Amino acid sequence: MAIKITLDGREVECERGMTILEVCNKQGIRIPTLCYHPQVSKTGACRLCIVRVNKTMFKTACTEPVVDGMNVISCDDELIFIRKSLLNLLLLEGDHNCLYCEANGNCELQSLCHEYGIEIPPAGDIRNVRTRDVTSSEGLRREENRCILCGRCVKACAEIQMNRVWDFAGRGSHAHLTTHIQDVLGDSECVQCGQCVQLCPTGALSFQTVYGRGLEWELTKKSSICIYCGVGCKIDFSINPQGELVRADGALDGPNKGHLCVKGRFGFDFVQSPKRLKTPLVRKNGELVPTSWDEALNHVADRLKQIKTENGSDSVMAFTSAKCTNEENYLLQKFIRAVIGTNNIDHCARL
Amino acid sequence: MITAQQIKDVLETYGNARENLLVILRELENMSGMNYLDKSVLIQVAELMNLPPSAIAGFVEFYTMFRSKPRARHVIRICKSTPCHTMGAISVFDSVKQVLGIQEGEATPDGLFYLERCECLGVCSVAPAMMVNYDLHGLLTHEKIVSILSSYRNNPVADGWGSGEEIDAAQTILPRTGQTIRLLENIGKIDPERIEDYTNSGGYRGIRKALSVSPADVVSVVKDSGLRGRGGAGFPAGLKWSFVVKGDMQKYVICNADEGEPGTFKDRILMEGNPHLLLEGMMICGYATNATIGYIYVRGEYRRSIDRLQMAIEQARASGFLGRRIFGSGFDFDVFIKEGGGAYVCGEETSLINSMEGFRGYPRYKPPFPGQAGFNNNPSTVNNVETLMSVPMIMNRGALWFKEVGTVTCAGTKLFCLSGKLNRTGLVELPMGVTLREIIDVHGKGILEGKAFKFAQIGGSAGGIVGQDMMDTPLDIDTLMRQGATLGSGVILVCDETTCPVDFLLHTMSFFKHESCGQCTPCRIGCAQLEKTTMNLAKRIATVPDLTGLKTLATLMKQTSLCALGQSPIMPIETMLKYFRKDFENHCNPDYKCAACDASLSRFFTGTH
Amino acid sequence: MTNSIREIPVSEAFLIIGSNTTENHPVIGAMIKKAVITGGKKLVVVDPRKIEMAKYADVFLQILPGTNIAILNGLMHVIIKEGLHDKEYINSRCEGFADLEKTLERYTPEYVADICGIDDPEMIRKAARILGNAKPMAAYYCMGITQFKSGVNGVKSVANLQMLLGNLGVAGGGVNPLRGQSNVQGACDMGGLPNVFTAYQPVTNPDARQKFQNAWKIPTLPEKPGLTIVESMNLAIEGKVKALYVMGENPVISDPNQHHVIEALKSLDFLVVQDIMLTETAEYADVVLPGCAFLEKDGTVSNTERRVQVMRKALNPIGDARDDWWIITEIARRMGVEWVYNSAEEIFEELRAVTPSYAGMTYERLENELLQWPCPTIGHPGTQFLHKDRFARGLGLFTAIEYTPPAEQVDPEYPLVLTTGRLLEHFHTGTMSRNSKILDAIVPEPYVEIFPNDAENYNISDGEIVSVSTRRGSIRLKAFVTKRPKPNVVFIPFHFHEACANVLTIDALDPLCKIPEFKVCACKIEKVYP
Repeated sequence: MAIKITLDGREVECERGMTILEVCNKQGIRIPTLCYHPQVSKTGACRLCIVRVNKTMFKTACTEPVVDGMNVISCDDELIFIRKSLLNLLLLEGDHNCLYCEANGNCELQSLCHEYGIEIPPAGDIRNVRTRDVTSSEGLRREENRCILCGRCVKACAEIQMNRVWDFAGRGSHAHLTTHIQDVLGDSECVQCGQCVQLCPTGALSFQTVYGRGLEWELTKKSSICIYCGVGCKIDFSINPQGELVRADGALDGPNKGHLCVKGRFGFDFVQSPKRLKTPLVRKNGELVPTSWDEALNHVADRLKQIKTENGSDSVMAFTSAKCTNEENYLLQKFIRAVIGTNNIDHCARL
Repeated sequence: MITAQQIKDVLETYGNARENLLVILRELENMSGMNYLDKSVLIQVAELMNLPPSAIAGFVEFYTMFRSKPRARHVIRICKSTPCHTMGAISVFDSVKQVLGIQEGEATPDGLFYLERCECLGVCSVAPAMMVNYDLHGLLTHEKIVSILSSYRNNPVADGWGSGEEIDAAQTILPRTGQTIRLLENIGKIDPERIEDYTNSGGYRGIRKALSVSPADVVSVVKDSGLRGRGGAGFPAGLKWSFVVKGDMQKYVICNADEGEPGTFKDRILMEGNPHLLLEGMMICGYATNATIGYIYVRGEYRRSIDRLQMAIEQARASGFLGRRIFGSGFDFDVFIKEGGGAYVCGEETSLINSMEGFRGYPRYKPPFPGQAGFNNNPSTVNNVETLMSVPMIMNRGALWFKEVGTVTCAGTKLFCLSGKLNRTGLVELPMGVTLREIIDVHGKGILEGKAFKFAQIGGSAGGIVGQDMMDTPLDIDTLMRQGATLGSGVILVCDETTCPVDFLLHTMSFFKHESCGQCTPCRIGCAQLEKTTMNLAKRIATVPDLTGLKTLATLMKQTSLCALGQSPIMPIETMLKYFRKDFENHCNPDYKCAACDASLSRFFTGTH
Repeated sequence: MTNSIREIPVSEAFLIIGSNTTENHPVIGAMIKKAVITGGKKLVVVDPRKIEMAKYADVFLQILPGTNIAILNGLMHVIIKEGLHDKEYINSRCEGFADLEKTLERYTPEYVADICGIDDPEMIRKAARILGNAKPMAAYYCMGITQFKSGVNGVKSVANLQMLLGNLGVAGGGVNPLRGQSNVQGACDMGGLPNVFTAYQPVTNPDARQKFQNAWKIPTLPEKPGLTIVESMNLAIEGKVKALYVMGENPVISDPNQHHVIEALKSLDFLVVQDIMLTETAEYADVVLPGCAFLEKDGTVSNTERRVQVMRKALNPIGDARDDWWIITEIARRMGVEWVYNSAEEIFEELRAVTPSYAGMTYERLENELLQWPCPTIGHPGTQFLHKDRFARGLGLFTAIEYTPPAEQVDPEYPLVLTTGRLLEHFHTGTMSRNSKILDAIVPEPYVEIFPNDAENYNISDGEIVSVSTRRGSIRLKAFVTKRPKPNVVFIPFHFHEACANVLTIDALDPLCKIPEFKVCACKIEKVYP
């Protein structure tokens, strides 16, 4: 049901049940958030999205439902002060030095500090040293001193991957993350889907593949479809200036809705493996030796022609591939049927 | 070592639903003999309960009663909250350390004693106090400590029933002359372990009366009475009941008995002294809100309250007062107990619900409110013990009668918990609107040792302090709120001229830092920062601008914290600075001498805490 | 899949049979887990191994490998006996019910429990009630249904169940095979099968042949269906198949009875392998042609829910690797035909003209819309689920199917049942996953899962090297003692060339679709003394 609220002095129509944040997003009004993520349930813990409601109240936009006649101010001087103060508190709590953080340039905390004009780090240091666990897991790195305890990793694991590897432990200023019973990631039930890393707003969780291999602004993004199982997950790949694949993120518009498994996340080294074939090979004197495309293609064409002529079309068989595209599969069956003249084509659908 | 079979047996006893996690772990910790939960035990529990190990690890670390490292046969917890501190907790700490030859966080070589400190134990009228496993001991002196500890060497039982007699409910109530006795009427007169005593003195009449009218009528009566929540927030009870979502879903009545506000002990006295009254109040609330199940969430330290309530529940069931079609009506109602594990924040209603469900006691954002989606996401009415216990008499004697005493906006009587530097400390029941002067002079019999009054902390650590100027202000919810203070749960902690405001504030801030759940940014980091700045004041290394810094930060926390805990520190800070700015400024001078701060720093805030 | 991934939240219950979903289709696995754990939906899992999904199941039926049809018949028996079947749906949309009912008569839970090795027949009743009382219920299966000599019948049995319950043609229901390869759906859709052109137009149908003859501008097309992979291997050994062109496959590792496959490859006159690496199969080739990897090319792929997606080139080809379509075109041209293609999109334009289910798709549409075939015309929104209102053949046909035991039974010499499958971290023949550093580091070596009691009987400890042998061969690998398999059943993942599970597997075939019986054969296990 449609209701009306006043948003920054403007009357806006919205649906009952929407949160203030959802209305603001729809209206193109930017509200700073850290613990909020559209892929997981609401948390309301970072408090950065606080807005002014009905002049005197402060409410978190991510959790507060709109009600008819509500008056919302998304930003004013006091709100800016509040948000900046909260950011300062977060900076006080952790080790947020972008210089040696692999999330540099891809950090929501960094962006917000920039946006809210934090020029010098706050005085004081109330940090508790938390876990640094960067070697136990083959794929994931955990540098919890960069953690802002937004809980997105906890929810990514519990609500998307459904494994519940992460949880909060400790209390108050000693609150921290835990996997298993205070064990390192490598000794937990983590299956390394990497969803927690994908949702981490800072450099607290990162991928081993990215470490030391390029910073955000050096990376080129390209989308493709995962080559493994038949789900057809859409993946956003990051490629560094050396042309290496360094990161894979689940794309929201694929059937996977942003999720990936361990293969989708870490299974692409083979594309750039030194074992890749770089030239055609022909067997000469029992050995496979490099050759030119022309020679290889002519050789194949000649031999197939010859065998077809000598033994008939049905003496030729082709295996097409569940790893190749529709176009390639189409073309090979066309080749076998139209050029060779047989229906001897099959692939590993049954294997 | 606990065996796999023992774990299975415990799970069998309590049921392996997640909501039983706390009591299961408490049982296993008790069984360990060394008051701890071994990692192997936690892993087995996780597997048997089909819970992720991380959730168990996080749960254990949230509740202070649990430890995953071996402690000792007896865990000694010395209360460090402001009432005990005011009455000399530091000396208790020193004595225990000296007698046992151990430091905090250590066990005696014989494995008998382990020393910890804790926040308020709810026996503030007999401060300073400590707890040995579940036994509470107050009015501690060095000699008494020596004798208590040696008695445990000979008789190692510590289950709550070995508490000192000073803890007894009836003893805690101050002489009734001059009081307006309503809630306390039967305490000390009836045997709380005999249901007949309660029924013979007119018990379970209120529920019968309620059942003879419609639920809506019950809500109206409670509304008309003007009864407001006695837990601290003062929300009108009848209104809260009317907000409970209607429909066919299961609904709950939840009694908040997680009394943890430093200086508060009224609910303990009520539960220990008259448990059936609480059951009756919950029945009426259940009937009015169409809830058929009630839960009492009692803080785990209140062993005796838990045992007495359990006894009362069983007697009521046996008498047919709980169960199906109670009192011959069509209404079903039953009550169960949930235990806390040592977390002040669980007194916040949504934290309490998370805790009941077997989660870390993180508060939930609101809305939805518990009346819409509470326990197991079903509508739940959460009320304080004192509030619910006021209901039967309202049903019995009517709304008008209830309003005969009190102020215009705050009807009825209020229980006040007197502690600190008074000649008499304990529980009193007085009309809303009574003055501090009357409480101190008439019931407290003046300041101890004839010293001068300095300030009183009203409403607990989350409340503010009031000075001499407010001696004649009527104490009710709204008047105090207008003055920048709060009635809260009815704490009257009186401090005399020897109290250092900085030292007092340091202990208050230390309390908040210890009790912050850590979920939301401002409270998690803010509480630590407030304690740090206050500590700097106590160390006399702070500067005058830091005083503004305290207020600015606490204001930010007030504006932005997720729950009332983080919103509270502004109250003590602001009121302290209002009355004692000079003392604070003095502490900004490195040469300023302060024995109280020196004592706290050198004997109490040492090492990690 | 007849239905769509996004319908998972709509299903009230799930039957997962022969699919280790959380390991082999982890993203769908997580979605089903979420529906069950958070959404409170019901779950019945049928599998020989105690897979992760079993943990969340309301009922887990741990059956012996090769007894799917028996258990499905048992479930249907209970459903009919307890009147849980959808009579109206059966009457109005199906035929053949009477035969089915008659056949099911003897599949009582007690009879079935005995075949399947289930201790408590009551569990079958319980599962049947869950499936029968929740609507819509979605059935998900994978190679644990199909890779048997009775594979086709397994699939038909799942369809029987879903028709019986009225779960076909409704959102959140369906018969949902989870395709194991990124474009196995597309390879089938594109006519990469011996009996059909694109969109399953039979080669035996003169009209279809005429259509393709016109489109391809050639006078005739062969009408006799061609050979399947396993058949071609046999004929190669007999000398009847002389040349083999392999594009992106690795039969040495992926096909059953490895020794037999190698013998076949060696018997060929001419073997061309077009791949991204020198696979175990390429070792036997006469010519090896380097193709582009998926990230180096444009093209479309079709996923398990019939959704067609465009892949775009992300990397430049390594070395002198070329697009597979370019290679095929070049060979064709050199064999004397006038083929001209400049891009994958041009090929797609040609193929959609002869492929009715893809006819309404263009690259532009695919990049902006979620399209699932059939999508016959531009402007058609695609098809979220199949069989709405009517089946392709009109009425849905129940097929009465009797359980038949697997080809190879255990005996004193080979006393254990061997079943094979995949792991979360690896894929198929390992060409990709084992050449990815992190995946290979997580699971670097092969192992055989064995139940603790069995391990004790054979004096095997966890981590020890054992040999596993069948009538076809023997491999050595580490033992992993775990309660995941059923007693008397061992499990070996088939990704590892150094201990190739397909040295052991049997090449018994389903008579209809020629799928090999990978999932069950008899084996023995022995400790290897150093």
